[in-house]
Amino acid sequence: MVSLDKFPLGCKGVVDSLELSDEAVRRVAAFGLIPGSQFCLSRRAPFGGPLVLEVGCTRFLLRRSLARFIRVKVAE
Amino acid sequence: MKRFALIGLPNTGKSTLFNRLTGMSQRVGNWPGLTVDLTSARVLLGGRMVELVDLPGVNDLTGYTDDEAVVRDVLMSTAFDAVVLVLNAAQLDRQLPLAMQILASGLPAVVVLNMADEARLMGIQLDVDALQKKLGVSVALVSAKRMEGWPRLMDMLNRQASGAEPAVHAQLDKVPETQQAIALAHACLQGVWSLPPVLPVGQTEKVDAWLMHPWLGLPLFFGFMALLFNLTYQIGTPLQDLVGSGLDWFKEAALGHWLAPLPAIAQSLLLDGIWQGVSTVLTFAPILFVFFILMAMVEDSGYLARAAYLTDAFMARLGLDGRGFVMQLMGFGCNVPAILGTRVMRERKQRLLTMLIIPFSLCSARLQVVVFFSGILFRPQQAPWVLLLLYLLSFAVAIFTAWVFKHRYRGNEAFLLELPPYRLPGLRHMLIRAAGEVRAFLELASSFILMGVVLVWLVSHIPAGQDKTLADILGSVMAPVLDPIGIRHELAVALLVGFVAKEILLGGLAVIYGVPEAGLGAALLHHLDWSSAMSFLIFTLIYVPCLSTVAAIRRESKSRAFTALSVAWSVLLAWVIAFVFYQGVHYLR
Repeated sequence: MVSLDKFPLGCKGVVDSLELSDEAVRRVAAFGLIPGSQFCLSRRAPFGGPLVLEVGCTRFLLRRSLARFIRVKVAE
Repeated sequence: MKRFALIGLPNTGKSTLFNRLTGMSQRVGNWPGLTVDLTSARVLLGGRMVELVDLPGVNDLTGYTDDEAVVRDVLMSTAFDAVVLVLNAAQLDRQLPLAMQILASGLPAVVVLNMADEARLMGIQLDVDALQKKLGVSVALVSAKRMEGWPRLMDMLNRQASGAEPAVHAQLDKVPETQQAIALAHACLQGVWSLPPVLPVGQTEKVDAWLMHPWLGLPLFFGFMALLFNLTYQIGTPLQDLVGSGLDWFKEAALGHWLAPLPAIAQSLLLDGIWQGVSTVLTFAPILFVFFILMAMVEDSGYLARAAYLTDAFMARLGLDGRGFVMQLMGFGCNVPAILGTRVMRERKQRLLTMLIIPFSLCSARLQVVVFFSGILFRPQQAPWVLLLLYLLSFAVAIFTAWVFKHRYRGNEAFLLELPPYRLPGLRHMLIRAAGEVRAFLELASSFILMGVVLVWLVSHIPAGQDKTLADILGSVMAPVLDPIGIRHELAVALLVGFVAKEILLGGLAVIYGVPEAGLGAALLHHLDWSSAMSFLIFTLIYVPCLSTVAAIRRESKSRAFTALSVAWSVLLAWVIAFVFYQGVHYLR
């Protein structure tokens, strides 16, 4: 299990837990990231910029500072 | 009259649907107690007049973002006959929880599943009738852009409007928390909606391979920005000139004639005061219109989110998000549309911080002044470098301002932004939106700017004894502030004129020195020494760009205190930098 900011690029994963405040959990959940949901990490911006994730048909960017608190594992 | 609320997540095509339903009848207006404007319009549905209110896009009814608070406030304070809930048919997995919350609030609702065309392309399985049965409210599957599924949608809305039940307030205490709403939604989607096992690779991914490329992405972004910028001014400036000369012609040919019988002082007030103000405001209209159409293209096509991706690493360090960068760049053309454009940022603190730094972008009106001054103060080989230095100064001042205020206007770290598939923006939608924006700005700015122009006129025309006007008095009163930065007293009025609009600053200087504008250069060299002229130029660059910008800040922030802060901060900064420059030069000599 790793934090999302360390997850390998282009791989599919499953969210394990969100170590975030209630409000941040709400924001992340609105994009479909909840414990158990599958995602694909499709891009990582250079110079420490945001990540691009795909959950279902939704693609979105999120900052690495937030990704650090999302625990994930590689999908089987 | 009945009242319907239009609610949905961001990027669901809610505004497109709103425009389809209402056309040009919409009105952007203040809602009591809110810091954002809401758009509403009257439409005939089921034989009755219905006021349709377009609420900001929200993810969740229980959250604490600014938009979520706005939606909650409106739903609590106002009774609605129905909520028209707009969801993206391809993303029901994350969008249906909002429906669960709305239904639990006790508001009568109908559900519009938009983007039927995209969902079809994705290969999504969807049983609308089964979903309708499970939710217990009417559901229509449409594509607002292509007007697909319209008969069923209109039928559903007409039926909702012809009901006899009284309007109700939302019972927000009955709304389930996020987690619970998600669980309810997922249960509801079982056997009704499903994604294909493998999503098809669309055009969007292929385009993004270039536009979001680790190395090519940023150069392409700057290329697009340069194109956007040039288009705005290639199209907008000739239109602006056309409007300007039309207004001048009217002044010369007609207005001057009609006012001739009046006493000279009244003529001057009407022509140099009020008419000057009216034309200053009106010449903004074409450039704003072009800007809003181009911005709508950038936003609706989905590129703005990519721009945010590319610039976020840098902007996050300044406490801003990537979309602010686009506005900052647009500010180099004209600050007014850039300030109005900050509306794409939905978090108030982020918007305020961005609005605070945009006025330092060296706009085209100030560029005119800079080019003129550097032309008379420097040799032709030096002038371009001076210009470059002044551009860098404006960037440095903006970054410094962001750095100073970033803690006060700290944005939420939980910054997430959807990267929607690339979409072709609808022309009708863009035109309606641009026209609405321009009208709303002119309504506010006209009174504001008129006041400023008349004030300047009064100061420079009211006699104050011994051949002096208030302006001369002003110069002596301001002496303790102006002397340390080497700005001569007679220029106090020029700074006041520049406060109204930088476009009229050079004309104002010519009046002060009693020379035609062609002889201004020689006159300035005669009256000012080099360091004093440079100090004036630096001050002009940094302090308030123009009254229209102040009006835009006032309109967008809805706060007098913030507007005052923005003005005071830029004047203070201008003074300090001019002081350091002027005193530094004298010390070195």
